[in-house]
Amino acid sequence: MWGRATRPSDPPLHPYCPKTFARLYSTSFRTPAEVCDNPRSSLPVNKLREILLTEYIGAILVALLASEAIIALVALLVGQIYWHAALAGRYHESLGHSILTALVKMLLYLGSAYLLARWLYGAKPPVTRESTESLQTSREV
Amino acid sequence: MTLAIKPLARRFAAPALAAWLLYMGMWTVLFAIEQPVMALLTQTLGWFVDLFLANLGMVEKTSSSVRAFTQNMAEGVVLILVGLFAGAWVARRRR
Repeated sequence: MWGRATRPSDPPLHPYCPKTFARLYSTSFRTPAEVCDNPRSSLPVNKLREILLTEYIGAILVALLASEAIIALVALLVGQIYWHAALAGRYHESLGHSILTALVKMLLYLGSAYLLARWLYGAKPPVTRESTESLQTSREV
Repeated sequence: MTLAIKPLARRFAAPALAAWLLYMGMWTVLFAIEQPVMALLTQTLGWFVDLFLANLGMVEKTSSSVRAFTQNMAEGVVLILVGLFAGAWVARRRR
């Protein structure tokens, strides 16, 4: 569990992340951690995000994962229709097993595609001091 | 209307290759995860049906081996790493 969060007024713990959003303390592992608010910093996770946002690599990946879920659904429907229409009664096939397999596949593919898309495109733009100041001056004017 | 294939291919060949490698890696990792999940689900469902709903028939049970799981995971991680290296190369070339 994350125990407490402090304001990032102190100097950052991580040298590659000069701007920190919050500082957390894990009570489970007794380690401090920082939430980096700087998407251009060279933290490993931000580096991965930067790679995936380059030239639509992440978008292509999300689309391929989602298409795999659609393929699993179509394969299930076609397989069931074919079995009922053409092969019914000739041999035993576990209906529940094929449905369960397709559902697990779809869940895994859609879940990973959703999480990836949320990580890549769902983050709000970081609020910097300059932007809040400019917002305040525009309101005053 | 003519479609400029060459510039499109030149621009998107490397990112598409990186995305394809990442996708194959993700596919392999998800395939590795799917086997124990299916084994757990079918064994649990089979036990439940055998115990309480025996008149429904049998549930086809699957099993998974740790060896296959680790091999698939390793292959998937290697493919993901190769895809990330290709993506990093694309990102550096773009800069």
